[in-house]
Amino acid sequence: MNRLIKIEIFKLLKRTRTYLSIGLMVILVALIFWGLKSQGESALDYALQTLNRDFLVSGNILNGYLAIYVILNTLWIHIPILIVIVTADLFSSELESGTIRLILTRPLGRSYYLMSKYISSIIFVIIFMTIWAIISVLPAMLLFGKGDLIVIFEGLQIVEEKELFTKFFNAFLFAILGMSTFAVFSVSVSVFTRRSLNAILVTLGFLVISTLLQTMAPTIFKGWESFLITHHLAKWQFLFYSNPANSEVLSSTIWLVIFSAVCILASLFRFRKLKITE
Amino acid sequence: MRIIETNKLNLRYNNRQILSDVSLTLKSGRITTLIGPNGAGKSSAFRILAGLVKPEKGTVRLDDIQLQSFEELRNHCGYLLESPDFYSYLSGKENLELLIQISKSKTDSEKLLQLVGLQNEGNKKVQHYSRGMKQRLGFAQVLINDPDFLILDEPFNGLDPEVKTQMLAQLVTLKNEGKGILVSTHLLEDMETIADDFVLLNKGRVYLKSNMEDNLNEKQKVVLHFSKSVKNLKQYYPENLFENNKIILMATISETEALLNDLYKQNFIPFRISRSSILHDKYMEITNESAN
Repeated sequence: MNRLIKIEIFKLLKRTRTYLSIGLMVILVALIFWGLKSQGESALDYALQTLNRDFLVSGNILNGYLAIYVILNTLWIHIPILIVIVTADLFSSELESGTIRLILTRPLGRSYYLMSKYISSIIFVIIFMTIWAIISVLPAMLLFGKGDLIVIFEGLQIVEEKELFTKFFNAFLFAILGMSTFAVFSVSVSVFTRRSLNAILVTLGFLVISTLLQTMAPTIFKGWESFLITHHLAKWQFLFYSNPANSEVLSSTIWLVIFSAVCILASLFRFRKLKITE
Repeated sequence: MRIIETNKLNLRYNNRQILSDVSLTLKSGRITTLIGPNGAGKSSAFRILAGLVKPEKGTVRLDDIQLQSFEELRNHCGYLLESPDFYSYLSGKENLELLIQISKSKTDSEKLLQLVGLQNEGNKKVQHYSRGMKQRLGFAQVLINDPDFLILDEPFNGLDPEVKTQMLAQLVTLKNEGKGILVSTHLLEDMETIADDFVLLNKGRVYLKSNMEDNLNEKQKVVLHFSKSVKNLKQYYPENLFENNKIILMATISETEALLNDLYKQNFIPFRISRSSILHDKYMEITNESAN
């Protein structure tokens, strides 16, 4: 299996698409920094207008931690899109180009082959998210400095600077889990759709619809939201509560793992029967 | 001697019978040619042998041992299935090395590239390869792990005559090294010079099985072409047909040899000799049937 995973990573590193996705992520983060640097102060003053009436806000509010928190919000849509354009293509591109036939005429089980795709997609997510974390944290600290974090999420949350490293570290770990689940989902979709473009569209369609359902009709889906992957992907925000809702985060972690396992099992079953000679 | 025997392979797809009771035998040190018109089921048979398609019915034995599935053959065979598809964004060498790693082999990719004449093109990305170059790379990957059997579906597609001749010679070398080779092709004449066994497939059924020994002992149509008139010879060989500068006869190989010796003595040397084969005749019969 190690051998297969190494080969998959080698192929990933040789593909233009991989660098395109990482390049777009760098541009996205750079644009956020540029926006915060040029208009962050005025936007923050506007947002804190009401607060300033009742409280005396002192210190550096537009600090590096707030910048990272803003960047974390790209986990809703932007980062999943950039990940999916790479991972949804991992399996289906081999079906489309016919290389799967070349590989499977070697003494190699289908399950091993597909599992190597899943593992390499998760490794890609880890690499991608690590780069994302590095290019977010370092410039944020250099450009905006340190300070306490004030966020408005289900009320006003003020998190002291000393707690922030752990909270952001956990948020990044949770983000890796969330994005890995999404990557696993996209690989599974590609086993069923056979075509890369279809797999990308179906996965992104699922993301958009799931997000819409969650935000537009929360009352209708009350009780059902656990089945929406986006509901769990957003749980990193709970880590920034003054009293972190650890049980919520843990519950979503379990849901994401179960969701990934179901996706993998379903596609392994499908792949065993899949005609690869068409 | 190693033997692969498939027994009564049946395959249905979309309610259409693709293969019916197809039995094939591959022996080490022999080249078996599978021929037949397009749609005869040749590629389907190859896909079954590669374990890519499961037959509806049929079994396979390797050296008298019944295998559980065709996938088990992969440890003993090298496959070239139609036009091979490689990773276009990798070089030829990288493609080979990747397959070498998957096969847990220690084969040297450089040696393989040299064997197929791609040693100077190995670092070029496959997207810049011509069809013939891809075919040669496909042939190189077949030899990874030094398999006992080679299963080659249309290996000469897209090859120029020079490379085709080299590959034919390569097949003979591999056969002499003891490899069992199964080849599907439309190049009847070329294969007749190197193959030992022939299987003619039509509409998913085995239409004819033959071997080189049978072919040589059969009386077949022989045409001797001369650069001068041979009418004077008619009196010596009244049983044969004389047509302008040609002698047309029905003869076995040894009878043809005897006649040629005779003609040489009389200073009649044909510049071209053509001999049809059962295989060729049957193949034409099938093709004509399909055309009608």
